[in-house]
Amino acid sequence: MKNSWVRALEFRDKRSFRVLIVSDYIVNPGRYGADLSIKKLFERIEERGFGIIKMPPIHLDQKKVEPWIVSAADQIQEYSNRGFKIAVLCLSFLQDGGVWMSRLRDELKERGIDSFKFETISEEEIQKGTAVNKIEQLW
Amino acid sequence: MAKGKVAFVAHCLLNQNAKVAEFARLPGVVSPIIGKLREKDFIIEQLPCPEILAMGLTRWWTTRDIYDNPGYRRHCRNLAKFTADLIEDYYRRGFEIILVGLDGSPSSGVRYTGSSDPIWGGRPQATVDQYKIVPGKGIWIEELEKELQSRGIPFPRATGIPMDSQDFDMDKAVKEFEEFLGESSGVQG
Repeated sequence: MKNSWVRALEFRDKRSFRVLIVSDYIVNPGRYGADLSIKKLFERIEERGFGIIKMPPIHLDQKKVEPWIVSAADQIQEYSNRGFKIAVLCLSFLQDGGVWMSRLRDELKERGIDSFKFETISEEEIQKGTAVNKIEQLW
Repeated sequence: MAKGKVAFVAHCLLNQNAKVAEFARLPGVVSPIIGKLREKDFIIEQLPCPEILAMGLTRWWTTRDIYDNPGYRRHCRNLAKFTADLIEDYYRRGFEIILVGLDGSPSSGVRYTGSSDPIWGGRPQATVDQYKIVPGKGIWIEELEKELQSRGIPFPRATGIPMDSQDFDMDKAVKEFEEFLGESSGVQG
């Protein structure tokens, strides 16, 4: 734990202190016709104890997405400030790494948060089952 | 015939890191519950967590009584507006919709919420045995219900996973949840 706030507060429970922001594609692969490897990717994220913040689905009207983006950015700031490990998970074979990821990037930039981790994993890494290992090495 | 099935789940069922201190029972995803939804081909949507968005990760333990004030209700109403946009989208497209909250939570309780005796407030000196699980919805779920009503959308068939109860038993909760999922359809557009 890097942050004194978190050191000072003992949460005294089972939380992992690790959070991933993911696109709808990873949580609901079935509706995108994604193959089984994406379902397995979700299961590996679960097994390794990451908490998930899910982005809204692709079909939501662009005008109605903004509050979800603001909410995700607020959480990124809060987890980062408290010393939790948090990253945005992007997929190399999806436009922008996943739905609404470029909007999130813009929101963070507007807040002056330029160095935040957007980690991109490839189809090959997912197929080989090495994607989650790569994420864990981020910190 | 529904076009599909969608479950709106309490934020912390996908992310236990959002819980108030001492209440995370698992590292991240509550897999026994989320797994049941995936097995049954539900699309999963995550509700916002009003507590982390207002008070952050280092918030004090709180009860429904404390959150039941105009400012917190306004905050929840703001979240309810954009959450209802998404629920309405599924409703208009003919999806079966269910809601899975967090029973015992002052915000996300569906069947049960949390109160205290004596009422908490002022200098923090709470003990967990003062936290009483009482029938009723949490403030956030109440405001979401009101927003849906104002749009003429019925509140989805809903349950709560009682993870804020001190005597929480995961096996029992999963069994209850399976029974809930096995019952008749939820709200359908």
